[in-house]
Order: sequence, then structure tokens, then C-alpha cells
Amino acid sequence: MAEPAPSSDAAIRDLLARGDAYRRAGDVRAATSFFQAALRQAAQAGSLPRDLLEPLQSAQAHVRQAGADYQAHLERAVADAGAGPRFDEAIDILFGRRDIFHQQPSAFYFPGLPQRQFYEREEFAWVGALEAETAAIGAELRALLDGGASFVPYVEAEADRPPQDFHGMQDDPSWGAYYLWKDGSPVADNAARCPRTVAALEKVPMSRIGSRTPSVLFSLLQPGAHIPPHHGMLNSRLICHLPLIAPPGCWLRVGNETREWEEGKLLIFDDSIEHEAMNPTAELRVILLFDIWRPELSEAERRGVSAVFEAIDGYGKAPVSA
Amino acid sequence: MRMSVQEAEARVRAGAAALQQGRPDEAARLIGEVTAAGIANAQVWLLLAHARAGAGDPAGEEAAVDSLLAADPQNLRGLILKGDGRARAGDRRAATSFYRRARQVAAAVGELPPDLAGEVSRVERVLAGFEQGYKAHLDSALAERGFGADARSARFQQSLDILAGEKEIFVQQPTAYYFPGLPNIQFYERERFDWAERVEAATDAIRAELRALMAETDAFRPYMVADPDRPRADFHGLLDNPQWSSLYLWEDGKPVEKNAARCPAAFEALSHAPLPHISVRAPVVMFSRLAPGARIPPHTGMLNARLICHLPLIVPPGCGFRVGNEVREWEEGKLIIFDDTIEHEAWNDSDEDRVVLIFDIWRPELSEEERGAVAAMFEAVDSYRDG
Repeated sequence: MAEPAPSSDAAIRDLLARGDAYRRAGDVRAATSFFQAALRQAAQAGSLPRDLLEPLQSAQAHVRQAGADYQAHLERAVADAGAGPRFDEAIDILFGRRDIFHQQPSAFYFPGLPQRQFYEREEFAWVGALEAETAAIGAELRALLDGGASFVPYVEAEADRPPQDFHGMQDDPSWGAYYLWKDGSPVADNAARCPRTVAALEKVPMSRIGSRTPSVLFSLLQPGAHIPPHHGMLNSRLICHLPLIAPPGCWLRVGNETREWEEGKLLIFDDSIEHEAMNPTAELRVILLFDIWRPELSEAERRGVSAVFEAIDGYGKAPVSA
Repeated sequence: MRMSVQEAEARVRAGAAALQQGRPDEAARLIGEVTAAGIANAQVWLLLAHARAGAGDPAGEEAAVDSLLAADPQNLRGLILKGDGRARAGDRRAATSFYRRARQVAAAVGELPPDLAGEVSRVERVLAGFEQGYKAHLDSALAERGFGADARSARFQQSLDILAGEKEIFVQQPTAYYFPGLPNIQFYERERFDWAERVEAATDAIRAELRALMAETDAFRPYMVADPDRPRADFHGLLDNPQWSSLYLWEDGKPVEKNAARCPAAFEALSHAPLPHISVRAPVVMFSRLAPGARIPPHTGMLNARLICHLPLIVPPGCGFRVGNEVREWEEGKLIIFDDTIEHEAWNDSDEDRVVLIFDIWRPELSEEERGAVAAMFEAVDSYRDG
């Protein structure tokens, strides 16, 4: 049933001839299909007879022009769609202006969740009250900075695990952290120095997963620091940034979208999607960083995820009985 | 203590000899003097670890191994010894991490000396045991916390299967148009759609209409038909292949009048479903026949703005259907609703025809505005002729 496979030259000539026929008949799209097929075959063929070069170039020009016309036509048609950011992003993806990114958590994947890069602050009821505390939280941060509080490298080597160098960020002080909660437990001394911050977080639906979350920290990026693209461990939570010191020009990219921090305005994103950040300025950038449950998880699912990590963390700690 | 390189080498040689002659305490002392002087390399740390192990000093052995790994993080013997040390201490998770890293390093190295190859196979066996024990532990620990196998939501269960490495993650991969921000759900449950029951209630009437059409010859035609105005693009041998054939009720976005007249029950039932109206692309409604022995190879659909529904009408035993990491069987009269932009395949291993009514619906997550915009975009695509 398949067409006989003629010699490659003859096949290319045939496709070009049919493309030309459709072009003369005014069927641009059919002509484009045949020209594209001819170009694909030509790309695979080794050497080509000289007399094919000119018609192939003409086919190429047709395909290019047709692509540009087609894109312009579609852009005009959807220019006033007003269907919101997801649709606009779909158009950007269609025209190759943006890539598609998926959740790729390194440790635990919860399926069936929307693949969203940023969540909007308007979607969460607790946001307003927390943002209203920005000045008080910023004052506590400045007192820490002025008092010479010790920030630790955000990525620290873990005892009793093989070293995992994280793109050279391990033990690098240009990404510093001052923890109020770390891996699910409060850091009492630090928390005591930031009572307003701790109080402001009380209404936040922080993710509580055994010895993993929440983590709450002041995250500091030194001038020039770049956090290379990476993925977080879990997709059952979202990461929130409350920007406290945000010199203009600092940025956070999540998937195909880049945003800048604005003091007092939360950024909420899925850190299991590839993300990176940079402080290209000559000043410090500091945010309050914490994690929350993904809103799509039911209460039972949240308890289930916590149970998984309690079970994981409870594994292999007891001495093996003789 | 200050020590020349010559002195250090002499001590290492003497230590190695003492170890070989069964005097590990003396070996540990001699080599320990070298490392204490701060001139050890990875080999010396390894020798010290062996000596301390022989001398019955597991803590000292592990300290030497830590220094060895600090000097040479990819040292295969060091990684295995560290795993052994953690396993002896009962810390199976840490042991697993080091054994896994050892396995990676061994795989990257390729050929190993026989004694080391033997060690690596031992590590493989221990790891397999740990992984099995780990899974059993997780299951019982989850049950203790109220999440036994019957108390898990379907997607939570799937997260555990993925964690255990028993299932893979599949994502939407539409070939023509990707709408972002949607959940990647393989199967949607019929209970979620209020119109589903009314469609299912018409199963017998729709099947009767189907039987009448099947009695005619040539009512069905191959699902994939070559377009004379396009270069032939064969789809896994299915182009013009009667093994997978169809009879359309809606085609090119319009009802097929002659079939509409003959299938009033099907049309009435479908009037309750949210059929998408997208230019000449949707709705698509058809009876789809899969001949005995036929197999539709794994593929992904064109756009993720819709879902595909199957109302199974004639389903002999031995038919199956996979979407992503889940296999389901068609059951007559029970809708199957799935995202066809996730890799899927189907087969009929019986010796009879399988027939389902296929139709598409809007994805429930799309707003009215978004549906309108997607439809407008495809109108623009399909109305485009002359630039």
C-alpha cells in the first residue's frame, strides 16, 4: 500500500513539482506541505544535482514567507482575545517564543497537579495580612544585619551523605540563609530575635512535612550572585518570597517566565519547575522565604504526604537487630 | 609531629606489612602517625581504615573513611566502606545513599579488578534487600498512620508507585497546540461529570443503532486516510489500514446528516455532553472499530484543550487500553474519559470486533473565555488559505 520508494532525486523533483502546481493554483498551505517534504528529503540526501539547488532555494523562500504570513495572520486573529495569561502563553509556545516546562521534583512527585509556574498573590486569603507586616519584618531583618547575625550558606554539605555539589553553590556564602524554621523545626534562638515575623506567619498555611518542611528563612543574595537553574525536591508545596530588600534588576525565572521582586509583594511559585535567580546589582537582596501547602491538595492528601515523609524518615534509624 | 616524606613512606610500608602479618593494632598506630602528620593521600587513609577495622575500632575506621572520601569523593572502596559502616550502625538510609553512589561510580568505571567487582555485586544484593525492606516499611508505616492501601486517593497511590519506581511520570505532549497550566491527569473519573449518566443510560439504544449500521457493507472506513492534497505521512502503518476504522456522526465540526438521521439516540445522548466547537476540528464523534488482533501503537494527540471520551458498546474480553502509566479495560456502558495528549495505546487481542463511541469534550479546567479564544484561534488557522 505504501508508495514505491523512487530514487531520492526523483522523489525530490516530484515533491517540488507538486508544490509548484499547488502554488500556481493558489493553495499556499498545500504547496508549503510539499515544499517542506522536499526540503526534508533534500536535507537527508547526500549530494544533490546542481539543477535542484535553485528550485530548493525557491521552495525554502516560499516556506519561510508562508510561515511569516501565517504567524502574522494568527497574531491578528488572537490579538484581542482577552482570554487571560494562560492563553497568551499558549500563543507564545505555539510560535516558539517560550518553552514548555514541567514539574520535575528531585525526590517526590505528586501527580495530577496543575503545571503552573507562578501563583498570583490575589489567590490566597492570608496574603494581605502578611504583606501588611513587611515593614516590621524588614526592621527585624535590618537589626539582624546590623547586629552581625551569622548567615549560613543556603546549600550546606550534609553529614553522612555523599557530597552532592549543587552547581558549585555548596557552602558558597553568596547565597546566605538565616533560619527561623529549618527542616520542620523552629530554630528557637533565631525565632526569638524576630517575634513580629513569627507572629505574622501564624496565619499562613505552612506546609508541615515531618523533618522536611516548613523552612522559614531570610534568604540573602550577595551582589553578583547567581543561583543556577535547578529543581526542588517536592511538588506538594509552593515556595513564597516576601521581598524585604529588593534592588531593582534582581530577578527570578521559573520555567518560561521571569519576574522581579518588589518589596512587600509576595511571589509564589512551584519550585519543582526549573528555576534560577540572580542579583546583578551592587547591593544585597534579602527576602523572607517560606513554603506553603499546594492549594490543590485535600486535607487527607496533605496528611498522606506528611505520613510518607515521616515513614521515610523513620526508616533505617534503629540499629539492625543482631 | 614533623615528619619527612621518607619517614612517612617507611611507616606506611611497615604498617602495611604489619597488617598483612596479622598485627592490625601496630599497623593502625604506624599509619595513624602518618595521617596525624597531615601528609596522607587517599591510599593511606584506605590502609588506615583497614587497619582500624582489623583492630576492632569501627568508629576509628569510619573516621578514616570520612577522611578518605574528603580527599577523593568518588573513591569506590571508600564509598562501599562508608556504606558498610552506616549499615552496621543501623542507618540504612545513609548506607543506601553511599551504596547507590558506589553503584553509579562502578557503572561509570566499567571493568573492575575481580575483588572489587565482587564487592560491587555484594553491594547490589544488599541494596536490593534494603529497597525491598524499605517498601515494606513504608507500607506498614503508612498503614499505621491511617493510610493503608484502601485509604489512599488514586493520585496519592500513584505518587507512592512513582516513589517506589514502579510507575513512570507521563506528561502532556500535544503535537500541535499546548495550553499551559493544566493538570496532567491520565484518566478523568466519570463520576466527576454530571452529564455522564445520561450518555451512559443511552448505551443500549446507541448500540442498536450501531448494529444496524454495521449490517451494511462499507459503512466504516479506515481511521487514518491519506489526504491527496498533502504528502503521505504514515502513522505506524495505520494509514488507509482497515484494522482501525470509523463511522462518523460529527465530522469536520459538523453533523454527518445521513448518519444523524439513523442515530437519533446517539445524537440525543450527546446533546448533554459539552462537545467543543472548534472550527472544522471539533466536535469529532464516531463509532470506532478495532478489528481482532489490531493494535494502535503509542502516540499522543494534537491539542490538550479537550478530553476524549469512549462509550464502550461492543467489548469482547482481551481488549485493553493504556494512557500514561495506567491500563484500563473498556466495560460496556461505562464511559472512559482521558487526556489523549498523554502517550496512549490500545489493543484488541480477542477474535471479535471492538466498537466504542468516541467523542471529545472541553477540558473542564478551561474558562468560557479560554474556550472561546481557543476556538477563535483554530478558526484563524483553518480559514487561512492565501496569506
